[in-house]
Amino acid sequence: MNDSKFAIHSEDGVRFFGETVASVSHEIKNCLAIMNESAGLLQDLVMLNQKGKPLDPARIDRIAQQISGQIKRADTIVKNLNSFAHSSDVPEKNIDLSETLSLTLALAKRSAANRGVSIHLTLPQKKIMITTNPFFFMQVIRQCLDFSMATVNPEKVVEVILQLKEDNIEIVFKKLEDLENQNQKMFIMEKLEIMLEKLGAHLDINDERSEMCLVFDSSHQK
Amino acid sequence: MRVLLVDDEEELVSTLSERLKFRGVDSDWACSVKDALSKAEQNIYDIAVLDVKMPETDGFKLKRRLQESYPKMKFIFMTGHGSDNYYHIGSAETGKEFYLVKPVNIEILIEKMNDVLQKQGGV
Repeated sequence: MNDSKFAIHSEDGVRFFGETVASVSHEIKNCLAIMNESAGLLQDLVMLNQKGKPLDPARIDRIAQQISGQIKRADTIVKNLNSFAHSSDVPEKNIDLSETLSLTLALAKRSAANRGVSIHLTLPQKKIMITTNPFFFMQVIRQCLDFSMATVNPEKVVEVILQLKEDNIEIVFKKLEDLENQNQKMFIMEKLEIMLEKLGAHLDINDERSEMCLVFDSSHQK
Repeated sequence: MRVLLVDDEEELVSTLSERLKFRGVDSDWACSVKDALSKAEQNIYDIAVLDVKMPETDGFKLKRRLQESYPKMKFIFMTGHGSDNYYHIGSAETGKEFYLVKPVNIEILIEKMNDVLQKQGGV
């Protein structure tokens, strides 16, 4: 790898990490803001009660449930963030693809919502394990997803399918548009070149089928 | 004072709206740009409190659309997004004192609402 390619690759990795953490912290802030207002509302109701307005137990229960729901939401977000942070612990690891793919898409949920895009994920019934670099894998998936969201159909739905096909593992991004645009294709191919090489994967972009497919051969399966 | 709260987090704006009403501030809320524009068409608001990052658009664009139709409306941003870039854009739009980071103390928010009615006179 030459110096300039290495520099771009490193910058992309740091940017991916930074963008993901920023997006997740935004989500956590929203949970905190809702808990802040809910706790404040409880205080307001107690204060009104001290002035003679009766407390409605059902109302209090609803507010408590609202707080509890936000705690669960924040807990899931922090668990996902923690798993993401640990993806860079080791250069190679045996991972469950369904789990890691779901985690990567969950971390991109806010970014998709901001673009008005829905992501539909279809996973195989059988677990698929591969040995790979978890951080690079997640980074490639995120880049593919960003490309898919930029070329999404007017219904703004991206379908992501994980499947085994003829001994290959495929992650297909469907319902894309304008894939005949050579500049866009070149851009994503160049951007992912180094990471695909590291992962031992390749990317097929099929204009006619309006899809992009990330392919790992069976040698990765363990 | 009549206020429109806009944020895609429904539990946040609905609860905040209820708490503002306890404090004598008449407020409505919306969770989408479409709903916000529709409410602004049906009512007269003195202030819009806008989230910065919302599905399909951002609070800055929504502010400009509302401002175009309702030049007297004042604006406060309330965001969970703490990036320098957004802070600079938001501050340029409303003044840095009206760019608030969540979670926000309601008494401070009301103080800012009173201030914005005085200070953004020329905007």
